[in-house]
Amino acid sequence: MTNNLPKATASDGKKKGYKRHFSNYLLDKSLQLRYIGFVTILSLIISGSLGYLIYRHENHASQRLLEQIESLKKPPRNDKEIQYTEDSVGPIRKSAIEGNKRRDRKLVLTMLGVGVGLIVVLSLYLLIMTHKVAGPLYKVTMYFDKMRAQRLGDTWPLRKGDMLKDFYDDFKHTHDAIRERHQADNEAIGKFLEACEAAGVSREGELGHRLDELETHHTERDEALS
Amino acid sequence: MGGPKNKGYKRSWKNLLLNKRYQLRFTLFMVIMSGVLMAALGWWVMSAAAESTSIGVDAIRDKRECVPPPKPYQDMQPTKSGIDLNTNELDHRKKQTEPGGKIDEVKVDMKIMPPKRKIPGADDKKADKKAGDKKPDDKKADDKKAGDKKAGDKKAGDKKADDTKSGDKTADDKKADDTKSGDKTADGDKANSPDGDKADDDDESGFDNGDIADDEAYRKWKASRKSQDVKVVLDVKVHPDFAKKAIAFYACRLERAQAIAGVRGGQTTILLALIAVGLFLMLGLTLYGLKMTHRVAGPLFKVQLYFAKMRDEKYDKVWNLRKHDQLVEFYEHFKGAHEGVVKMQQADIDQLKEIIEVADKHELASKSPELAATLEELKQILARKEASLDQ
Repeated sequence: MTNNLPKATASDGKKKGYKRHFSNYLLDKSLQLRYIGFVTILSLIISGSLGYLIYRHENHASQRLLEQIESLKKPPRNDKEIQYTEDSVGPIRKSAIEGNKRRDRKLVLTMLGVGVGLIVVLSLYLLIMTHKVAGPLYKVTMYFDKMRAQRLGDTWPLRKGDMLKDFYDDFKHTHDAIRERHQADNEAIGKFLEACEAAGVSREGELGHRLDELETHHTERDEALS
Repeated sequence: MGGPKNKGYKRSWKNLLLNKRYQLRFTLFMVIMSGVLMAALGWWVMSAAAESTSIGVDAIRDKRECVPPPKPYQDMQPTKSGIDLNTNELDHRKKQTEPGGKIDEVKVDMKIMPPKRKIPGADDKKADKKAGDKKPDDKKADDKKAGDKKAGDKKAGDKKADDTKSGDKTADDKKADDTKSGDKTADGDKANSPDGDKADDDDESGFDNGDIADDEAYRKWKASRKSQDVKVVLDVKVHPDFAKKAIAFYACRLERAQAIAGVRGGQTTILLALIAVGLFLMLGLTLYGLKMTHRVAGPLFKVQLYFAKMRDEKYDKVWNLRKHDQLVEFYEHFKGAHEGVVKMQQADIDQLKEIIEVADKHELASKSPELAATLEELKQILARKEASLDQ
């Protein structure tokens, strides 16, 4: 997961709404490229092997056609057949060879075009599709990093069309539960500090030092939970 | 995991589908995409194969033209029994000398002219006309007349010819038929022809009105008709190389049919191979897709188990992922988050421990009931937090 991506705009004054950028589509390289690579290579293998079969059949048909043209030069077997000379067969053969070459070239180009088009379209589609998985994971990763820094801020819902919604909801419930619990605990500490102040507990000596530390902790935790 | 003998967790096929929505979506996409690709390209392959097969079949047919053997031909050789066919108006309506003819097509038309008899009171011209004094070759006229006359000698001749045509009958049967027909014809003569009437009258009354010599000749002729027998021998002549050429022809036809079947069989083989490969591919992809996505869903599932524990304030030790699992980096981030929460918990515990210790030392609880209550609450929180880390 890369961390050099734009941060969530939740705190921005003017909320423009997050726009997906093409450069941000590849969030989890190993996850996304693995799947894209697998499907693309699989498609290439299928297209390649079937394309080879098509080419072989076409080529075979062309060869047979040439053989038939060549057989015109053979002496006639009966009165119905006509004896063709090299002069008459030559142009037919030349035309057939050129036609076959043209057809074979067209076929190869068509197959290449279809193959490349397929790969491009498939890769783009898979990039978007895997992004819908990598996106929520990336978002959760950002929250994880905040939690690591002992910060339990607000969480925001996923974007429309994102996948792993169940997982994200589960994470959100967990995050909110931990946050609420810490907030409750922090409130209890706050109440204790208020009670100490109300009771006129001295802030000097060891007790005072501990109370100062607890107050600092309470303030920091408040900030972390806001 | 928790048993006395920790054998290590083994992946089970039952647990392969952890995140249905994600796993099925990705797997089905792969499977359907492959299926569509296979079907589209397979159709293209089959079109090319059909074209190739068609050209191949044409080439085989062209290359292996089988020369048919010479056809056996029949030569009809009429022979006679009791009648000289060369002189007695045996008409071959069709003498089959062409090769390949059938015996059924051979028709023999006999026209046997009875000896002339004089009928008193009738002029020669009329007699000639009525007795059928015709040329033997005048077949059409005969046929026409035969239809008009319904009787007469010609009819007897036709009958005989028909008998001959039937071919299947034995000589005895034929004779019997001839005899029958002769009788019948005689009756017909009696009934229809004026001459016949006369003859009948003669027979019945015993009175002879005509020339006795002529009658005698006529009777002889009638008697001779009964014993007439015509045989047609169909002599089938065969080309000397017929057997050899026939064998070569059928062997060539068989070889050609086999070659064509081989070419067409190739097309069927391609179709079956495509279907088999397609099905195998889709099945394999389904299994592989599920396994592949399971390696993503597995870590997510594991993280979700830890989420549940964290919600219940249980901060277990986070174990590493299994070998080959994906989202290792993501999992490391989770571990960091878990660690952060544990640190928060630990910091709270440290703070609470210290303040409670100092508060107890200075007997803060005695200073006010409110203070005592909040201190008690802090003690409970501390106990709860300590418990959360003692898993």
